[in-house]
Amino acid sequence: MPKAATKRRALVCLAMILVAALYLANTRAAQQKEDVMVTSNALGRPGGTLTLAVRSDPKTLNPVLAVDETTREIIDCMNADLIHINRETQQPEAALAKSWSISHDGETYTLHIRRGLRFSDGQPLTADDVVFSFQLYLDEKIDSPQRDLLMVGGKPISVEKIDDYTVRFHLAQPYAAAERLFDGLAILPKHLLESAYKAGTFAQSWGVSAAPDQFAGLGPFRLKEYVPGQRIVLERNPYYWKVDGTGRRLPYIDTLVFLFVPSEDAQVIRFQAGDTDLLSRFSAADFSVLQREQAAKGYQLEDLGSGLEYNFLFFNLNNLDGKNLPAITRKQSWFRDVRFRQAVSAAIDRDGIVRLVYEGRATPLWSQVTPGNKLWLNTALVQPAQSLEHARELLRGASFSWSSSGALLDPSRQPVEFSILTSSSNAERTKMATLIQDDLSKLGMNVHIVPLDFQSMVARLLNSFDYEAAIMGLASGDVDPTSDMNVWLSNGGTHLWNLTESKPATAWEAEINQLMNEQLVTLNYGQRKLLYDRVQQIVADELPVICLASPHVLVGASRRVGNFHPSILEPSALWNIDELYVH
Amino acid sequence: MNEQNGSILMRVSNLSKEYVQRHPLTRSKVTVHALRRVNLAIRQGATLAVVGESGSGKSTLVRCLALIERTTSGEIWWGDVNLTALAKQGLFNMRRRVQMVFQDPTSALNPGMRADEIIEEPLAIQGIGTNRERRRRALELMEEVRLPAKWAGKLPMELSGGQRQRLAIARALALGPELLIFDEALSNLDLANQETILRLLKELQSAHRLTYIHVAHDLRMVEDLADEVAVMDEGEIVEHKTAQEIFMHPEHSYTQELLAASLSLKAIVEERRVAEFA
Amino acid sequence: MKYLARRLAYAVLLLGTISIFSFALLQWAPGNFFDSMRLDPHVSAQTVNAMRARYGANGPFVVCYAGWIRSLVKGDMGYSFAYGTAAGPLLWTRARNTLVLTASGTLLAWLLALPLGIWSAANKGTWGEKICGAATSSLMTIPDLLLSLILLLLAVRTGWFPTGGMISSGAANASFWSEIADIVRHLILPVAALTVSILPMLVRHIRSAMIDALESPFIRAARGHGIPRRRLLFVYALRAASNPLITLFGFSIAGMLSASLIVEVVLSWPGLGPLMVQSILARDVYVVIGIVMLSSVFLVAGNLVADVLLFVTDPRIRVE
Repeated sequence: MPKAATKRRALVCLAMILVAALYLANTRAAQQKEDVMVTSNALGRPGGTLTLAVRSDPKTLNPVLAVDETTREIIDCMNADLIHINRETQQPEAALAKSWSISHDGETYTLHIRRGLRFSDGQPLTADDVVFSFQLYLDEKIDSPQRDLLMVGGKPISVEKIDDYTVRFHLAQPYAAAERLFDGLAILPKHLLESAYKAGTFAQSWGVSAAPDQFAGLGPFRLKEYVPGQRIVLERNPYYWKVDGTGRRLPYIDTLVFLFVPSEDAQVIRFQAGDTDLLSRFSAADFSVLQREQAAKGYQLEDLGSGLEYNFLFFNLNNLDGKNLPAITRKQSWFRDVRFRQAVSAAIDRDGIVRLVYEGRATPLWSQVTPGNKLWLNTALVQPAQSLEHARELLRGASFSWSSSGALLDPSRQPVEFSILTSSSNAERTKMATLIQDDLSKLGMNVHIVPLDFQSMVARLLNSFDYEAAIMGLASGDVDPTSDMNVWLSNGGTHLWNLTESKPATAWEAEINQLMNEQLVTLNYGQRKLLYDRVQQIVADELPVICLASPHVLVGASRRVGNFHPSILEPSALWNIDELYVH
Repeated sequence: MNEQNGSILMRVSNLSKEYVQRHPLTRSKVTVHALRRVNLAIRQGATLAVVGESGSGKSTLVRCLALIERTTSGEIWWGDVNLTALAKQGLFNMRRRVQMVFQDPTSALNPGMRADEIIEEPLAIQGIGTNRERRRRALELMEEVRLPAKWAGKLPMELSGGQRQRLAIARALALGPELLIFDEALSNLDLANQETILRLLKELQSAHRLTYIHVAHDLRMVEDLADEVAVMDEGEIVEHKTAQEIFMHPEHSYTQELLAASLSLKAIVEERRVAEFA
Repeated sequence: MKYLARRLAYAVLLLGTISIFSFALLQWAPGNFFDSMRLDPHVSAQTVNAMRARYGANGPFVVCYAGWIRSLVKGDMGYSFAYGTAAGPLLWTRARNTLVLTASGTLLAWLLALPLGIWSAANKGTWGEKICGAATSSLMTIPDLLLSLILLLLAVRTGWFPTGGMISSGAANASFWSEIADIVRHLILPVAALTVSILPMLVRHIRSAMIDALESPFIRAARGHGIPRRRLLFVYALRAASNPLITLFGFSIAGMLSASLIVEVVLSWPGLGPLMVQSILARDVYVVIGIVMLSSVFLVAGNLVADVLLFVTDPRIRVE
């Protein structure tokens, strides 16, 4: 049967050609030029281990579910985002997305993904991974804490794949800070997580106890070992997509070790001993202690000036109808009087707070934006010094008076007496409360301080409203005003002083609403700045929160660490971990 | 008191004992003179009663004689051996000859040991006999103090007060002592038990040619059992006579008081005994 | 045996009561895990409420408790809100580490305290004993936190000991014995802290128990039989004092466990302590309850061991 034999031979040939073609296609894909990002950092020495301490174990290694700061800090070293906020310039810049374009109406963003990138397990990155990742962040059943960020105009952002390296995002309305939304949203490997997602077990995947080979990310490092209660060890990701000026692939460091050291004292001691290379989030008192041995011990300390945290005093302005809190309700007639709040603000010695609470390592504040936020600070705000005279005048104007013994009396001749809640675990805020108590006693006010366990305090602030005044601090994750929307919108979840408003309770709150919503959809920075300047002015005038001080960001690094350029944005010491090296 | 009849087993001369105590509240130091230059001769085979109120030094005296308390000065002679000057080994050997029975049998017996172990304990400490020999000896002794052999495995807590005291006596006899000291050994027992044990002690005394010292705070209690009585007050022996003489002619005023007190006490006891019979 | 069965039943009952109490306390403690999430300006109230509902953190006491018992049977021990997993797996390794630490601490403390206590009882009133007493009293006044920090500073300044953790990076791959040696090196500081924190208390109690025992008549009787001093102290008197000492053993375990919480935090020992602190602050309720329960199990088990010891050493218990 020669015919059949020829046919078979032809088939074999065809098969061989096909295999060869596939092979060639494959190698071409592999050889396709990798679209790496070239950094401009000073060249570093490759190799070595960098060790730092964090307060606790990571709670999960799943970027979609991570909530707390420590967990995010560790996860961020193993993952990458499409557009990243440069911690130094505070501006968004290209990351996994090489470039992007915005439609004229500002509602559509087209992102071009770098080609030829690989996850840390060697698998290629495509638009499918991006679409899949956003599907996870937006899934209501997963409850990602990131989900609320991706709601624009009350609707979730939608994402669409155009081709393997292009994705398009649609917004329900123009959104001023749209690029900034992408910061911190890790792009995840579809090939590893899709099956769990389909099985409905995504919330259980990538927990802390998962084996290292189950993970893959686009960050500079990948998981090597997790020892509960002791440390997590990350190793260099050989597929990382950044190279330095000489074309050497980053990161420089081979191994990154996070030790879990639960107490701040122990962290400071171990840094001082050279056990750890980086130190952040420590108190001004520790800074002074460390400073004394700075020269001898071979480490450098930096005071970066004020960060984004703002501490403030506020009064309970909630509607307490039906709450059965008559004593507080009665005092609310003072708290609601702006002249009373202004008097309190005028009587507070902010410089004293900076000096005595923070040993000078803080900046006094009169509104919510800190000097560290260079893009958005309203520099025209007046910064009145403490004036008891002015405070008394304001109180007199609001029909307050003084008894013969000097106690302040309200218009119905009742003595002015109230309590301030503080978190007992935050020594600084408790100290602030003591200084304020002292300042206000000079006005004849009788102030008590009630230090409470943080959770108990939160329960009172958010649920029972059983408080008169409180000292709190908030720290925005980003410089952009959009990150504080929930604080300033009258129906926002963090509108602490009054969480009961169905519609703005005052004209100035209505104005803040209008300004905040307007800046959200305004694309021009100059115009947005004007709007947000006005918000700061209103806060400074109406004092829903009486801003006090912003602590400085303090960091330390061993002298063996190179390219150390800490930033006031989190993570201060680690943001350029891919560029750090050790001598 | 004359020392002519009978040989002297033990002679105490100028024995003193002092110790420093602190006031419980002020912590100031007080030197207590428990014994002041005591002189005493103990006749072999006789029964001597040492009587005095609590704090008179009688217990301290007998503990010194039983070699379980150190003396401050003075000597205790056993024949021509000065016990207070003995070195470790000499003292160790001497202990076989002097044994003591304590007031409260409950606390004087190791609560964690069985009856036979308790009796074997001194033999084991002194390294006498093999295990089996010691055990046999323990059973003999139990029989001698009228404890049934089947109780050998019992713990002290399973025995009555009288039985415990017999056990303590058996233990004291184990080493074959010549001098047995009873530190108010009968005072914790009821009257019926007191009498049976007294009878037992008399039998043992004649069977083993034992010398007894009884410590008591009540004169009348020793009337029936003592050959001689030494009365102690504030660390001194104020009167030492035969029992007969003491009860007939108490010389020292303290003895007289003691006697008067115990007479009225005896009346009460008698009354109760009558009541018990009725 | 009846005695032991009774002690065991009592232990189980005790654990049940502790679980109800800790459950109730945490249920009614102000604040909860999800409230503090609401302070994050990025997270909306709706999301927080959805999470609450998902984790069943809203139910009434009885329902929550029954659910917890069910998951206890499965070995989950409830759910950690913070870690998003069953609480059990978080606790096991840490409980084992705490056990290693407290057991070594208890052992060392007793090994030191027994001879010291016996020696000071035997030499009551001498100068040496007085100095020893003063030293232990002054040790007693050092708070655990300060003590741990001092030891940490010592380790840091001298470089003689590891300053935290339980096992070095490479050691887990090495041979069994070098791994043990590595763990022992890491144990030195925390065990020293625990030992010093509890030693004074032990020495004082052993001393007074021994003094009581030495004054009891049957010891005096044994002395009358010429028992050698060493045997008198270590066999007779110690055995006589064993009853209060075994009770003290139970207490010492409680002391160890509470001291270990602080020591672990400062010296970064990967035990239950750091997790406990975090979980209490975050109101991660089931983790806190899990830790309380595990500590109670250690405590109750320690007391059971004490009961068994008592049963073995004191024949009186066997006589019903």
